[in-house]
Amino acid sequence: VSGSGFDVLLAGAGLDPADRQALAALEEMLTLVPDEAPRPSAELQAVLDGGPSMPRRPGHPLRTGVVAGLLGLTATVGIGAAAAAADDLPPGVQRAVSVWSHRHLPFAFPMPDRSPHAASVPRRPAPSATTLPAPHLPPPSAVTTRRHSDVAATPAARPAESSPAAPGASPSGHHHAGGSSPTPSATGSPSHPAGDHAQEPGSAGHGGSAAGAKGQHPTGRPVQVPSAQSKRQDTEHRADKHGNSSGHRRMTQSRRDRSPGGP
Amino acid sequence: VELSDEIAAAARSGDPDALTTVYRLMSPRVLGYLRARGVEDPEGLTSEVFLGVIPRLHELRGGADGLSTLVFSIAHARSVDEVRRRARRPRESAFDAAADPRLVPSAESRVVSHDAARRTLDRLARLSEEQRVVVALRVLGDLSVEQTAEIVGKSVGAVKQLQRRGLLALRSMVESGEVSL
Repeated sequence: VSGSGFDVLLAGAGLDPADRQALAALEEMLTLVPDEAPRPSAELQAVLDGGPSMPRRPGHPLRTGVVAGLLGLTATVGIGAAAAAADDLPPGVQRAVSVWSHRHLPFAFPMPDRSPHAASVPRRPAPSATTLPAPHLPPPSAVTTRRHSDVAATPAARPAESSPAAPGASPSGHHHAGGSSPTPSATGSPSHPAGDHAQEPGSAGHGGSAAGAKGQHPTGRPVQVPSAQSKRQDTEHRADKHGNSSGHRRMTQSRRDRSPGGP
Repeated sequence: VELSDEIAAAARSGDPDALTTVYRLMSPRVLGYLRARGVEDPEGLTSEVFLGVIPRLHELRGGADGLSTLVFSIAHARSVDEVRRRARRPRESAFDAAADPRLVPSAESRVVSHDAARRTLDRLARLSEEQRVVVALRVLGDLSVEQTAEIVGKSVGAVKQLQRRGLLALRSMVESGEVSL
């Protein structure tokens, strides 16, 4: 602020520009301003020398808009593809997307369920060959009932529970419950030979056959049908695991038979 | 060399020479303003002010006047922060007779060794906070009433009123000689 600046300042404040006391106060205020610039700090000096903290100009608006548009387009296409794959689009749009994907893409989106072309478009293929074929599947209500009974009679689910009314209870269950009951054969329950399960892939209704039939596990996973020999080995293995097994009894019985004194 | 619109534009584009010129031309006034505000380390804070100015130069509008407004806006904000910080957390230290301003001049007093400067600081200390800011920005920052109003966030009329009262108070102090040296 020069002398003329002081005049304007004082005049603007409603004071006399020629007021000596006021001008003296303003003149002395300027003594706070040094003649030379203060020495900058090391950080500021590095910036003034063109260091790495130089100001960066913001991105051009057009470039920013193009990038934002591409991001929006990518998001829209991704969400639309996910919706089309889930058959969530409106039927008309879903049909158009499906037809277009059949023609131009290496994969195809499904046709809408309500479309008359729905039967002609293959749906998702079966996950594996162990799944039951459609004609052998029981009605849904039967499957539900059977699964419940299977779970109730499965040895793993209720190992100590075995009653004579429960068909197909495991042999080990008999041992735990009674101990003096007649020992079943090592090949499994007498009323359910292993061959029966192989013969009737869909007959999962027999107790204890949840893992023995070719079908679905109560949890819904497809299971593999063991052969008669492997089932026998499995039964013996389980019996050996419990110590007081039928195999051990059978061996004891054969020794007695061989002994000279007899039983 | 005076601050011009061309220098401001070059500084806005990140030209190191223009930035150095801006610092050389404006830092003395910024330092004077910070001294008038009574900050503890006015020289260090001056460097911090310009370190805060440079990243914001891309916002600059209005040439040299806009650059002055931007620089003193940041200087004012930093000084307010510093004053608030001191009020919130006063620095505690053991008594040192060599640092007692009643016995020896303080560091700031040694820097501003001129009697006129010491008288000015004493006078400004007697003004209200708002009057001190407005008068300092108008006189030391060489800013217009409009620029000052923008920085302190008040209307032009309020700034004129504060300026008038502050100048009247300074004048009366000079007239009555109420300044202790």
